[in-house]
Amino acid sequence: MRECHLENLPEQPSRCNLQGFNNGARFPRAPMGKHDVIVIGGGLAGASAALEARARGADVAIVTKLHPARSHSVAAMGGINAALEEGDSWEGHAFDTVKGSDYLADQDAVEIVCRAAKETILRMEHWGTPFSRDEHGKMAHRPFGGHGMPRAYFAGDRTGLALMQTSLEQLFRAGITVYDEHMAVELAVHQDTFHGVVALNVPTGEVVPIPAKAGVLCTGPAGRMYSKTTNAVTCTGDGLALVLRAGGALKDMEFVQFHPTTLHGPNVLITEAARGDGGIMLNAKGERFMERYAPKLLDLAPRDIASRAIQTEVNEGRGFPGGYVHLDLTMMGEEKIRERLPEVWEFSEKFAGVNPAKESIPIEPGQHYIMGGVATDSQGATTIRGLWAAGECACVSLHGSNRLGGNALLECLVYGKITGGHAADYARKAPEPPPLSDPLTAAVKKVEGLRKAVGGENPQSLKLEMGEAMTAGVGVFRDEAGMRNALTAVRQIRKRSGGVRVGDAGQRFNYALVEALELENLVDLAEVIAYGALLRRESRGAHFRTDFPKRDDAGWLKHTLATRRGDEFEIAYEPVRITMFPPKERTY
Amino acid sequence: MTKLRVFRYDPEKNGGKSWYQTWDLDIAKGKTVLDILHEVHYFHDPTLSFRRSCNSAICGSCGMRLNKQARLACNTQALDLAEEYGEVLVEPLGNLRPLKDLVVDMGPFWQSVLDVRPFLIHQGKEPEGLYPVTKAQMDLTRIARDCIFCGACLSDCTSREANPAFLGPAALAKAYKFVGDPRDDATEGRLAVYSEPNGIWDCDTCLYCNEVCPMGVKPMDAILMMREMALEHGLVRAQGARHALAFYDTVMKSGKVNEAMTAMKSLGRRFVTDAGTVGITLRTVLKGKAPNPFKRPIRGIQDIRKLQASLEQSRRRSRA
Amino acid sequence: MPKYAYFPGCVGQDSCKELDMSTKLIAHRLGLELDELEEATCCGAGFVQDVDYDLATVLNARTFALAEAKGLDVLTVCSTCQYNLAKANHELKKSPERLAMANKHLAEVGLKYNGTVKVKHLLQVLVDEIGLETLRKHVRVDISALNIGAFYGCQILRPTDILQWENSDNPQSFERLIAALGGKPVLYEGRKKCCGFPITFVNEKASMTMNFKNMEEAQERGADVIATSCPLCHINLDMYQRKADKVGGRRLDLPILHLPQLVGLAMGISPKELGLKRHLISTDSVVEAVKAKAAPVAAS
Repeated sequence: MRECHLENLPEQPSRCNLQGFNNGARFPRAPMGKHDVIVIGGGLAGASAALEARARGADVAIVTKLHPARSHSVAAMGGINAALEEGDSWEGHAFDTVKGSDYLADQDAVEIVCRAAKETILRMEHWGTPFSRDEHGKMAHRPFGGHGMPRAYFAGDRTGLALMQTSLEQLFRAGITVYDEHMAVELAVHQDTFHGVVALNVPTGEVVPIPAKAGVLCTGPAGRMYSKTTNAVTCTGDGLALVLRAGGALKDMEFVQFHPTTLHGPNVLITEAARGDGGIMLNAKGERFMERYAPKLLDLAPRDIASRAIQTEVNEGRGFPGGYVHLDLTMMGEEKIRERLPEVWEFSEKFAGVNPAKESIPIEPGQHYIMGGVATDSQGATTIRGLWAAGECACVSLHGSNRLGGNALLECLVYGKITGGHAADYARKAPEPPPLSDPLTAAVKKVEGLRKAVGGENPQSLKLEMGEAMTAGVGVFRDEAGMRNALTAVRQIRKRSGGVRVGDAGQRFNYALVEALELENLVDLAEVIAYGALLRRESRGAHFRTDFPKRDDAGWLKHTLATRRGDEFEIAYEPVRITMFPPKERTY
Repeated sequence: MTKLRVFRYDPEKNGGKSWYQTWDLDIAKGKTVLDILHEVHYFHDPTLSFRRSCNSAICGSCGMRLNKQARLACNTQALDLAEEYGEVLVEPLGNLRPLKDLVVDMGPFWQSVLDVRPFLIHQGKEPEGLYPVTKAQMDLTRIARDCIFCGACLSDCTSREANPAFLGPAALAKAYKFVGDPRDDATEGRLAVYSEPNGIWDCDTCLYCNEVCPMGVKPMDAILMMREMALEHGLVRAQGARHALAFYDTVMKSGKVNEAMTAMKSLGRRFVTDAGTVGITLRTVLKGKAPNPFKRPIRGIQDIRKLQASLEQSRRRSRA
Repeated sequence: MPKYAYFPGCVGQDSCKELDMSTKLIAHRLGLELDELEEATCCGAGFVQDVDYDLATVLNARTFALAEAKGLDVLTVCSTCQYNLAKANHELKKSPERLAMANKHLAEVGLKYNGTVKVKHLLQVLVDEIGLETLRKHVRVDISALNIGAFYGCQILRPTDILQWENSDNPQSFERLIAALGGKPVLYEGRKKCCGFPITFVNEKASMTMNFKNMEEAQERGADVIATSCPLCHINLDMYQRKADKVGGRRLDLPILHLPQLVGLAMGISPKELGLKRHLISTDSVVEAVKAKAAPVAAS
C-alpha cells in the first residue's frame, strides 16, 4: 500500500477570472484593470497568443464574446498538417500550400508556418492533445485534398475540439484572465496606435473600456453574410469590421472558400476526411463525376475544384431536386464509419435522418472559410501600431486564393504564438495607454442608440436578404452581372441597417442588441467582398468567374487591399511576396 | 400547430419571479428546437435570451432542459418531442442558477472543472520527440475525451442536486482524461484528491450523466474506473472506499452480500454511536426484518475461491 | 408457460425477504415458472465492480453459464441486479476478448458461457410477456382507492443503450401495470431519479435529501403509497424513511411496497403472506383502504 503525498501536486492555479457576472451592478465605467496585452477572441489562435504572451512575462487577458470553449475552433474536424514522415519535408508542404493557393500566398509566411509545423505538433502533444495513434504508437495521419503526401494528423474526427480543449487546459493551468461574454465594439486607436478596446458586457449590458498596451485580434471566421454557411451564428467577423473602422486594411476578402460537402439543409460540415477515408461523390445519375474534373486526385481534389464540380453538376441538371449531390460512404461499413467518422454518423442521423452505412448523404457546397482578413506582414503585424492579428481573421497571407485542408488549425497555433510573442515584447517598451474616453463615448452612443431604437426594420430580415444576395451573386460561380446585383443589394442593405429596430431594451443578455451590432459588422464586410470580387477580372483559386475563367498572372498576381474612407470603401493592390516557387499552371 | 412553452426569467421583471410563455407554431419536419427558438427570437419576441453558436452539436452553448431532460437544442428534433409529450417544453439546465430566461450561471460548473486540475501534469523529464503511447493506451480515455462542457450531465446529476459541493460528472470525466493518460504522472496525487469528500465516492451511480451526454461521454464509467484505480493505489481510507471494500469482503466470504456485516464494517463505530442507525437496527430486529449477520456461504462457494485464485494468477503472470 | 432462471439477488432473500416471498406467490398464480439459481453469486451491485471489475464480470459470467446450462433466460427482481447483470452480459456479448477472458477462468470451474442468455426484470416480464390483459384477468380485489406512485430506481431505466427496454425519459410500463391492476398511477418527476441508496453509507445527508425530496414530491402529487421495483430502493425509502424525515423536517408516513406485493395485493393474496407486516413504515393504511372497497371482483 503506497502512501499518498498531497504535497506532490502542483499549486492550484488561480481561478480563471470569468468576469461576466456583476449580479445587477450597473455601468461601472471604471477600467476593468490594465493589461499589457489583450487578445480579442478566445479560440485556438487567441489562446495560443495569450499563452505565449504570458510565457514572455506579459500581463495578458482574453476578451471574447463567447467563452474559449465555445469558439468556432472546436468545429474543425479532419486534421492539422505537418511534414513529419520519412520522405516528407517542409518544402513539400510549402509547395503544396503555395500551389493550392493558386500562387497568391505570400511565400515567406508559408515558409514560416511549414517550418514551424513539427515543433507545433510536438508542443500540443506534450500538452496532452490526444492525437490518434496506430498500434505501434505512431501518430496516425491521413491524406487531405491538394497534398502530395498524407500529412494531416488528427484526433478522431474532432481535431479542432481536441486542440481547443488542450489550449483551454493550458489557459486554466496558467490562470489567464478571460473576460468572457464581452463583445468588442470599438477599437481604441489614436494616431495609428492601438490602446485597447471598448466592450459590451453581455451579461450586464454595461459598456466597459479595457485599456492595454498591445493587442492581438483573433476573432475568427466571418461567413455569416452568406445564407448557406458552416460557420457558427456568432461568426460575424467583428475584428475585421473593427479594424476597418479604425483605419486599418483588409486583404483579399473576395477569396471565399466553399466547402464542397455540407449537409443539405442545416449546412453542417461533412468533413473532407470522409473522402480521405474512401467516400466518393455521385451525381443523380450515379456517376463518379470527379473523374471529369480532377482525373488524378478524383474526390480528393482541392476544395475549390470540388465545390465548382458539384455546383456545375447541379447547374447542368445532374443534381438532385433541391440542388445537392450524394456522398457515398456505404462501402466503409457501419463499424468503420462509427470508428473513424463518428461525427459524420451523428450529423447524418440527427440532422438529416440518414444512415450513412445504408444510404448516401445529401451534400451541397456551403461557405466555409474566408482566406482574406486583416492585412498583416509576415510576422502578423497589422498597419496599426501595437496591434497584431492571427488565425482566420488575419490575412498574412498563408492561403492566398484558396486554403488547403489541415492548414487552418496550423496557422492558428503558429501565428497565435508568433503574434502573442511580438505583442508581449512590444508591450514591455510601450507607454501606458491614455484614458479611452473618446472610444468609450462612441461605443456607448452606438450601443444605447441601438438599444433604445423604436420603429425601423427587423435586422433579421435584412440579414436574410443579404445572405440570399451574397450566395447568389458572390458564391461558387461569379459573373459581372451577378456581382453588380449583389453589390447594389448589399449597399442598400448597409444604408437600411442604420435604422434597425432591436426590439429588446433590456440590459441583461440582450442578444437582439448583440445581433444588431453583428449585422453592422457583416454588412461592411459583405460590401468589401462583393466589391473586391467585382473588380478582380480573373479566376484564381476560390474566386471563379464565368466571364473571366482563366488565371491572369500578368494583370492580377496581386493582393486586394480594402480600406474605409468615410462611409465608402477604397480598393488598392499590393504585390505578392514570391520567394520559393515561381507561379505555374495549377493542375492536379 | 405545435405548442412551444418556454421558461422566462428576468430579475428586473415580474417581481423577479419566473413565468412560462407559450407560442403556437407551425413546425416543419426536420426542424430542431434551436431552429424554433431562433424563429421565436428573430420574429416574435427578441427579448428571449439563450446561448447558442455552432448549430452543429460541438460548441456546447445550447444545453437546456427539453421536456425535463438535459439535451442540446441544436440536435434535438422538435416534432419528436411534441409527439412524445404533446408540447415542446424548454427550460434552463438544472442545478445551475438561471440568470435570464434560458441562460444559467456556468460559474460553479467551471469552478468544479478547475478543482480537478484539468491539464496534463508531467513532473518528470519530457521526451525529445512524441510521448511513446500506443493506440490501446489512448483508447482507455476514449470515454472521457469528447466533452464539450455543455453542462447537460451536471444539470441532471442527482448527486449534485442533493449536494451542490459534489464535483460532478463533467469535472470528474475531465479528471479521468488525465488519470487514464499515460503521459500524466500525477496519478497518485490526483486520485488522492479525488477520493476526498465530494469526489469520486459521492456519485450515486444514477446513470443520468451517461444517458444525457450528447457526445457519448460516459462520466459515470470514468468515475467508476477511478474508484478501482484509487483502491489499487491503496487509497482505502475514504468512506466510500471502506464501504465498497466491506461489501466486497462479505461477498467473497459468503457469495452473497452480508448486509449486517457490511453496514458494521463500513460505518465502524458509527454503527453503534449514531442514534438514527441504532434506531433502524432496533426496529428491524423488532419487525423480524434484520438481516442475518451470520450468513452461511452459498453452495458452490469453492467455485468463487477458485475463480478469485485464477484471476490473481493471471495478474501475477502479466505483471512479471 | 414462461419459465426463467430466477436470480433472487441478496437483499431480496435477507432483509427484504418479503420480496422473494411475494415474487414466488404471484409467479405461482400467473404460471410463471421460476427455476432458482441457488449457486449464483451477488451481482456485485456496483461495489464489487469498484474493487475488482474483472472478477465481478467473471462471477456474473458464471451466473449466465449456470442459466445457459438450464437453457433459460435470467429473471431479476431488483433494478440494481438488472443493470449490473445486463451490463456484464452486454459487454460479454459485444467483446470477444472479454468473453474469452471470462471463459478462460470459468474453465477452472468447469463452466462456459456462450453468450446466449437474456436478462429481464420482473416488471419487464409482467408487462411485455405475461401481458396486461392476463394481469387484469387475475385481479380479484378492488385497489382503486390506492393512488400509487411508481419508483423505478435508476438502474432499470438507464442507460437505454444497454438495457434496451424502456424509454428512459418518459417510462410508462410501471404506470400501465398499476392501471391494469386497477390502481391509480401518480406521475411525478422523482419516479425516474435516484433513491440515494448507493451513497447512504458514504454521504448520508445527500442520500436522505434526495430520498425525502422524491417522496415529498410524490406525496404532493397525490400518492398515498409508493411501489418500487428495487429492494435497495426499498431499504432507503422504507427502512431509512425516518432518517429522511429528519432531513426534510416532517414525517412522510408514506408506505413503500415491492412490485410483486402490489400485484399480489390486487390478486387477493393476503397481506400477511405478502410480508406487508415486515415493513418499517406501516402498510396498514394501504390494507385498510383496500379492505374498505372489499367486494371481491368476480372472476371473468
